[in-house]
Amino acid sequence: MTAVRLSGIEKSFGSRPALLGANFVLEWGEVHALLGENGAGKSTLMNVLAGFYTADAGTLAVDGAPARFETPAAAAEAGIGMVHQHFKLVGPLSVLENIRLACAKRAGWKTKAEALAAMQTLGAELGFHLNPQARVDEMAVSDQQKLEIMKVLLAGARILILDEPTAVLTEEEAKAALGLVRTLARGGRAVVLITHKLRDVLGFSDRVSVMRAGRTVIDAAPAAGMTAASLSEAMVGTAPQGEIAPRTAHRLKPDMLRVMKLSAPASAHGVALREIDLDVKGGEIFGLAGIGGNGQAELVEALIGIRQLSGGDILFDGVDAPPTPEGRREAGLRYIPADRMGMGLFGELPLAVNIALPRLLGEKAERKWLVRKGWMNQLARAAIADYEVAGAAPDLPVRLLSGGNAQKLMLAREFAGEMSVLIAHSPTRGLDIRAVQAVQARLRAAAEAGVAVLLISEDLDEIMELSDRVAVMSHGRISPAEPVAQVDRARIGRLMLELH
Amino acid sequence: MGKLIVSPRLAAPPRLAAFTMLGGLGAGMLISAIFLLTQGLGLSDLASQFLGYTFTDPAGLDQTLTRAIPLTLVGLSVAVCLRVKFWNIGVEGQLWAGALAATTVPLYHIGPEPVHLWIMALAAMLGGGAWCGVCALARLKLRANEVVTTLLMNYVAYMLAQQLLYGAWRNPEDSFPVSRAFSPDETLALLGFGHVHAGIFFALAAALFCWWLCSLSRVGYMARAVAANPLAARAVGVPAAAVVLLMATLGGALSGLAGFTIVCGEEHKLTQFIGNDYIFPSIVIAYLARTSPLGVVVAAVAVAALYTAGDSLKAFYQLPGATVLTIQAILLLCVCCGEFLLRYRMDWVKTVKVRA
Repeated sequence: MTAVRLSGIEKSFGSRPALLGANFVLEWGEVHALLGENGAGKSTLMNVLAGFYTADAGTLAVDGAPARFETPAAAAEAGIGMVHQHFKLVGPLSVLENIRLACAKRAGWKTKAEALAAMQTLGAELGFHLNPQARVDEMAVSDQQKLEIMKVLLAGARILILDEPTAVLTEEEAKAALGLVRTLARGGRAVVLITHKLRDVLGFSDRVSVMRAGRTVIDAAPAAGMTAASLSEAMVGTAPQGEIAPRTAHRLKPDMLRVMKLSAPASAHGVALREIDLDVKGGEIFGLAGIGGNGQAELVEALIGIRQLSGGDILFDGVDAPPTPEGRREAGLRYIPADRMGMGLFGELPLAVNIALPRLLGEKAERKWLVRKGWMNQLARAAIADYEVAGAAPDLPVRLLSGGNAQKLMLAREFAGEMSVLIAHSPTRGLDIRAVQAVQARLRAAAEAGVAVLLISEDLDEIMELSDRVAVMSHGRISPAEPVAQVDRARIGRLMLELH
Repeated sequence: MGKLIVSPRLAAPPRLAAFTMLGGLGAGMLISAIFLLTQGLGLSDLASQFLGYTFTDPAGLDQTLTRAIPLTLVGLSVAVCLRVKFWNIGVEGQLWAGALAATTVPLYHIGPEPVHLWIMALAAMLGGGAWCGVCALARLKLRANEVVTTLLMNYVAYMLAQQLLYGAWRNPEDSFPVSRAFSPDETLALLGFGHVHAGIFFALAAALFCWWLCSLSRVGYMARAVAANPLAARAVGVPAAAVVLLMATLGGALSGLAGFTIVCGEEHKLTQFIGNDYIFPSIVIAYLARTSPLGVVVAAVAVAALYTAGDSLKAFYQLPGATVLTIQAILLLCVCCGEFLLRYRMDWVKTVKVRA
């Protein structure tokens, strides 16, 4: 029985086509993986199904009957629920309030207690433990996603669309979540997994569709017959390059970034930093693994100078770090945030302003009294070319870029000028293979050029592949660093859980 | 069956922005005209009052330009503050603070006599700047909402002025609640066209300065960053607090300068009537100009013309003073509605039944 059939879907944003006749067929009872590079149109196609966008052309059928969803509510009425990569949560409200807001009407809850009971029942079943009173904008990203999944299920979705569901989860959590997704499908629902991770496809999906440049290139093929090589070839057109060449040996410069007994009080629902010691040498990549929400965000804020400390020292190249964010930037600190649009880029401002802004700051500013558009546009065009930012123009508002291209822009801006310390927080999350490779290559190149790179990531593969030394963050503390050759995954997993 | 679908635009083309602005203004004028017709005016009266008197009659034009001087400055004040999303609802208080600060110069003989005028301008900017800057500090340090603090500071300044006019600064000769008259060195020269005084150069220079600051200097780009995403601005290294403080203080200084142009250009002494009814027009002007400093000049002249027409309506047709306020409100509402069309796209689509 066919749950959903999308045929010949077309959709343009302004003059930019995103879908050029895409097809998609979803059966009841299956987990269906939808693959594609950033900007291939996966999210757009699923947004059409979920009623967030209306298609310019093409047909949509649910349960064999033609349909057209003008609103997400209409799609939800038909049993379609989507968990977005960019969460649709109300930040200032609590977990329970978000759930009631999204589901109370459909679930028929009259009281807060009913909602709480339903939430706790589902939470126990899924193995998620969320504090119902926690404020959403103060929760870790991984918890926010758990809340999103709960919301969709509590609203009674029969057709689930999960956009990059495992991107923010740890390996164990991801396996549990994918296992649950399979159970839900076996129970008669239909699940779409939008993903970049081949493991999700090969290990947990029944069938797979692949999109490339707005078209469906593999249409509902059985996942069993697929290999990692055949899928990635379908996604990128040509087989991606294999291993990146190992880094050449180079001299390390000690103490480029040294943190001593750093402590900071916890903000509401946050994590306190407890006597953190850290020493990142110039020329190395220091991998900080750990489950999200264990103080990584707080540590980053302390390092870039926007969090009040209760004790400890931060030294750049042996001297005390300047107290202000602008001073630290001038001292050579650069930062790639986990939340690009929240902490890094200015979505409403043109690309050229995003690129030029840091060059206007501080004593060494390149332009102070007369900032010409032509100069900014020139910088922007150079960045677009150097970093291969697709679909970009100097005057384009940055919010219109796809995730991978926005990240490339982020790198172009941060890597400009004299960099001595780089903090990269989940720099490849949610990116496609090619963008991941580009970002990782840039990180390696930075280290080779003598930069002290602190890589904070929940993706263990990435940590193991890139880092020279590895430490684990848990409950606001950091384990002693070890050379990557001496640690194994199981050990790191234990550290993540044991460090109290 | 069809259905109207309203969807947000990804990016609005600049031509559409101009079109919606003009359309909003046009609709506003049409509704205002209908409103005036219901108040007993004839069509020909409308034309003669609004176009004839305000722009072609020298007396009307004189009044319009004179009034446009402080209106430009308070419009700029709100506009530069809005550049960092700082809502300055306190231009009157800042204007009073500027006027009071300027008045201290002749009353207490501060500085050499020949340059009194320049010292007065400086004092007015300091007074107005402090009046607004303290609200910015309260927002940055205490998280006090500036809409409330700037609004309340209006009353503080007004009461302070009353205290001084009925107390220490009362005219010693006749005991009227006005300061003693300023000497010719302490007033702005007339330009030979009615009441239009040299303050017009201050207003135009201020507009040019604000245009440079917002559009060409690095401060303008830092302000955009702070307005667009304060957290990212701090993370990138924009001194966000300093930028907000600077823009808000500059905004206050511009309102203070407006107070200076009134006491030195129009009244030639401190009176009780220098800072009334500026809050609403200042917001209307900044909004109509979309916070563009050069646009503020045009919008200020337009709003000043509206007041000129309103005065003659009051004199010849016995319409109440609130008429002008009503028309300003109609224009603002219409332009705001036009904004909706700019942000959202409307499509007429055929609906298909959805099976649940």
